[in-house]
Amino acid sequence: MNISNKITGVVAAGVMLLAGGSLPAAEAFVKNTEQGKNGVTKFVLRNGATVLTKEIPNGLVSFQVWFRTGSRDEEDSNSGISHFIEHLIFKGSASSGVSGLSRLIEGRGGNLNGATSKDFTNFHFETAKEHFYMSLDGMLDCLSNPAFDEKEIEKERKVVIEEIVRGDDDPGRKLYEELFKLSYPSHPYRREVIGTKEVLEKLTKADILACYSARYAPERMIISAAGDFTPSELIAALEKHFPAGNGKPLTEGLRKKASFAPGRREFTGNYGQGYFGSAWLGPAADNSDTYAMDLLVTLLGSGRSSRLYSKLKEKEQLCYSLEAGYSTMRDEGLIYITAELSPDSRAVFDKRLLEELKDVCVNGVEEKELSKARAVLENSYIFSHETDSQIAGDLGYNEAIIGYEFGQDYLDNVRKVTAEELKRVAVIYLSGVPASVCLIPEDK
Amino acid sequence: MKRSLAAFIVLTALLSLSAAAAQAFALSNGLKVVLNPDRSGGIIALQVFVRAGSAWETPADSGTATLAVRMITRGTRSRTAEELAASAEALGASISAASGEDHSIISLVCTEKTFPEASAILFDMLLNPVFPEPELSKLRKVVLSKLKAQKDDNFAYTLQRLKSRMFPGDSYALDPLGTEENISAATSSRMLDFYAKNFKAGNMCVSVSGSFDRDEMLSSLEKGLSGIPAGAGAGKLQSTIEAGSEKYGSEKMKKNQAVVMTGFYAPELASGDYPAMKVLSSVLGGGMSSKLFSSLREKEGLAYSIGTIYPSRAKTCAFIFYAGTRKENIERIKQGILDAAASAAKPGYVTEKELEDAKNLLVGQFRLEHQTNEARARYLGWFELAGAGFGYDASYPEAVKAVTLEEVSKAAAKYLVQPKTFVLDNE
Repeated sequence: MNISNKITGVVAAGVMLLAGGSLPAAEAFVKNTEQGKNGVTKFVLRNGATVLTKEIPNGLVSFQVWFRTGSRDEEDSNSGISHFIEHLIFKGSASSGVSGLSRLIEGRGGNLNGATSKDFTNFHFETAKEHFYMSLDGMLDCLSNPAFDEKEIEKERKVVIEEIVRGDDDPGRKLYEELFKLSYPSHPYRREVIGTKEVLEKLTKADILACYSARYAPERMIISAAGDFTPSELIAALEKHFPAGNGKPLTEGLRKKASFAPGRREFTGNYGQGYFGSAWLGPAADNSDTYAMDLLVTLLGSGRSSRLYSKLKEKEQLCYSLEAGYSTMRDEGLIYITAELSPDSRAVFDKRLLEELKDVCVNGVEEKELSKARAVLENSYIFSHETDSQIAGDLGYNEAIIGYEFGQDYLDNVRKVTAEELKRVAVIYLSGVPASVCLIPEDK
Repeated sequence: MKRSLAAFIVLTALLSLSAAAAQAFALSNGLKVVLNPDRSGGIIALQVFVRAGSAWETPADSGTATLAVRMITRGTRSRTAEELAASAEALGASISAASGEDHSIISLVCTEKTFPEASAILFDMLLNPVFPEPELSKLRKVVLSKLKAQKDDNFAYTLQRLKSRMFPGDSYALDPLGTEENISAATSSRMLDFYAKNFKAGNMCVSVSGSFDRDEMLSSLEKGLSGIPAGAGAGKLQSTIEAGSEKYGSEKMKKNQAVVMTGFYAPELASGDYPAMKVLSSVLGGGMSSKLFSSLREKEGLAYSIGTIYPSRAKTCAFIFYAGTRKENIERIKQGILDAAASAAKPGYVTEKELEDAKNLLVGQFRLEHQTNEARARYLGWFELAGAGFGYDASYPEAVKAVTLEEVSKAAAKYLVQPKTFVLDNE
């Protein structure tokens, strides 16, 4: 099957656009429509793709294309290929030319970018509403008819290697990657999204085409848009890009149970200070413990008065910074606590961190503490949903991971969490031995 | 019923803009406030700008602003640092303080509902700070660690080294974090002196954007901030760059990637050449379609991170080309940057289409950035403090759109001379 036809009507779509050809009936294109909360509409297309829309009359539009695929679907032999494909999509379609998409969107005042993660790959642009459909046509053309020109592949390979090298100098990134490597003995989350120089140098055009054909298909695709547009017009615009007919259901790759390996690793390098991180296996996105876990990590490490920050950094001065986080992922993501510290403090910091977590597991948390964490989490959610891009990103990300309703009901579910539940999730997820990594300056 | 403004507010509508909702007023102590009411989102962002930062410092007191501004949030006459943090976080409000080169900002982001209580905490910090020694001791350690960790960020490290070479004798050579010696020796009494000198109505500006009623906000600000002493501002920043800095410098470090930066002296925000230089920056290195990105990344694959930086500053600053690359590409990148800079003034180098695209990109990004109340407040306050006036937030897009090819070419000929390059090289 022609690769491009898996996503769109390829050349035929372009001809239809130019000729202004008649459109198939909407019902032949949209399988069903669902009205969500807060003005969100979900369309499920017959080809298997999902479209989520939210109208905001502000003169701007954010358009995002998400694929339920990322480094999680790779093997050791093609590690980094998803990220490489993301780069190559921006090298243009057969007709757009190498910088055609960026000139089209940036030349009209918009911005565009892409991102690859373990669970997803994302392409997006933001622009004024008058340039929306022209930009959409350009981006979908590049996604459905990527040129994958041999010469451009070679040039972009060098660029991605530069990106790998750049990341190697970043201690924050190094700490994060080493925590994942250590924590997951077998699950694909252990691999770096960006891949390795050695594998990247060997990837061929045939590898790229095979991966693109298999994974960048409509049944893995979610389109999310927020801003000043009419959903029916968006659907009509998308219809020009997709062939009529039914797609196949997404049957593989939905869930892979992750196992966890505790341990310790230290790395010495040219660092100006020490970087420390401990990780535990958290709940997967489809587990209702996610709300309690978000609140627990907020209570522990968000804000100067949070429990670990106030005790370990402010009172005991064992570190210079402290952060607690939890990655809500399709499979079991990591709960992590990271700190910048003097290498001399790392043993005491580690000991005190475990003592504090044990205290939560044994004695739980106070209602007042929970109430404060809830206020911090609720407000940070509100503050991070101001722009079209943030709103469309929330819809697309949640749909790719667990379902867009997760975001719609998120605050209601957070408000229901009790202090007892926080204690329970602390015991389940944080009472074991963590995977710990420390980066140490070589003169220490 | 809304409170009357009549008695205690010097309600001076300093400038009303037809194209935007923002208006400026003066409180009874002379403190200028810029208000941008927008009832749509339920969020309020309030930013307090102070004309203080490393650009106002000397080598002898470098780093004082960094410490003193952060210390504002760490203790008042009636509340400890812990109490302040806990009470703000209980409301879900975000209060932060940071200092840069030209100015410092103490910022509050909260909801409309929590604004009365959250702003009361902020006002207490601004009027009654006590700079407690135990808190200063903790902050000193954090800033000293940040100084040590600077080399962990290749880009920031190279930028600071380039600036220290470009601006001998000028405050832009100073690291906003200060020096190890000054940070170690900082005392509470020095913080109090800094506060008394800088936290005066004439040296500050407050901008607020978000869901509020104009009159109620004015009333709240008058009640909360009229206690800040009246007093003149610090005046205009002056450039004192000494001649004779070297054209090229480098430092070897055990790193995987090298960073190349080439800087040119560039005009301040209030200069008539500013819009043309912003367009020039957009043409050369402003996005994925810029000349530098196209030539050195798209065509040659020499770099992942590449572009130009032209920050908006209150005095002569740096227009910088940057690229992260590997050791073997350093010379090619250096030459590519110099070629682009040398060609920029030549007729035909920038086409009409490139000019239009670059202008659209600048204006479009500006509009997209203005989606958050925090950004709207930041632009209004910064334009006001830098001498362009808060109204520049509304007129900037038109100023960009009016830039011609000839103006871009003239700006390139005038400013893209005397290149200074610094390379962070691999050992």
